[in-house]
Amino acid sequence: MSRKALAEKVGVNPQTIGFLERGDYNPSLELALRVSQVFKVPVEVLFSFRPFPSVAETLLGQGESQ
Amino acid sequence: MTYKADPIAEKLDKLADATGMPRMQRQLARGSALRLRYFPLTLLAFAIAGLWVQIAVSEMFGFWILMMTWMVTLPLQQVGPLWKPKGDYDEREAAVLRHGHFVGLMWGFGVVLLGSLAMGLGKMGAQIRLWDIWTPTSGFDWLAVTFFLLNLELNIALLAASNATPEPLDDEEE
Repeated sequence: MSRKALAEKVGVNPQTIGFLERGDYNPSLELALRVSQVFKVPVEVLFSFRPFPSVAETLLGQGESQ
Repeated sequence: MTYKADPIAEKLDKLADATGMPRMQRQLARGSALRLRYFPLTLLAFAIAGLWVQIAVSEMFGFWILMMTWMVTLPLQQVGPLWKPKGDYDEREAAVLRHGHFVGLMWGFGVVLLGSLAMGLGKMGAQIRLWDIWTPTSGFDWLAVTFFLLNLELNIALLAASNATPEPLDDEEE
């Protein structure tokens, strides 16, 4: 899903979605819930106090555990 | 045949990039707000200089500088993070707008407070022939003070809002 499409669904500017992705903006509870509703996942899957590991880190972790 | 760039054109491109104008133009074309620092700071310097001219040099010339500064300040607001053409601010933009104007108004309030205190004490000092201080008397003086405060609020609000806006995204089209 593009930033623009997600922005339209949750009612914000696409720039704000970009800042959310980059961790430059902390959303209100309402916006966080709206974003999680779009992806049909619990809010803690999308937002966390600790930064999420990158895809490369996740894949590397899986490789090491095998 | 391999492509060989024109060294003069490349240098001109680098020079243009160094000015920040191409990036600014791309942001404006996308409708993104610009983070402004040097323009509002320059306008603040002009406002302070205008008030000094009003007090020390000429009441007409000082007023004219302050009015011209305000006339540049107003359109500058339209490219910064404080203004959107249709007024459709999302929650982040509204928070930036509130933060910017809060900081600007607090600065304006502080200047009015300290200015009033200084003028009050100055006039008390003048009564006992200790010192004297400038106070607005004519209509132009009061208009100059008004334009000074307008310039102060708007430019500080713009600086604060620009500071509260994150760096633009490199891949905004995605």
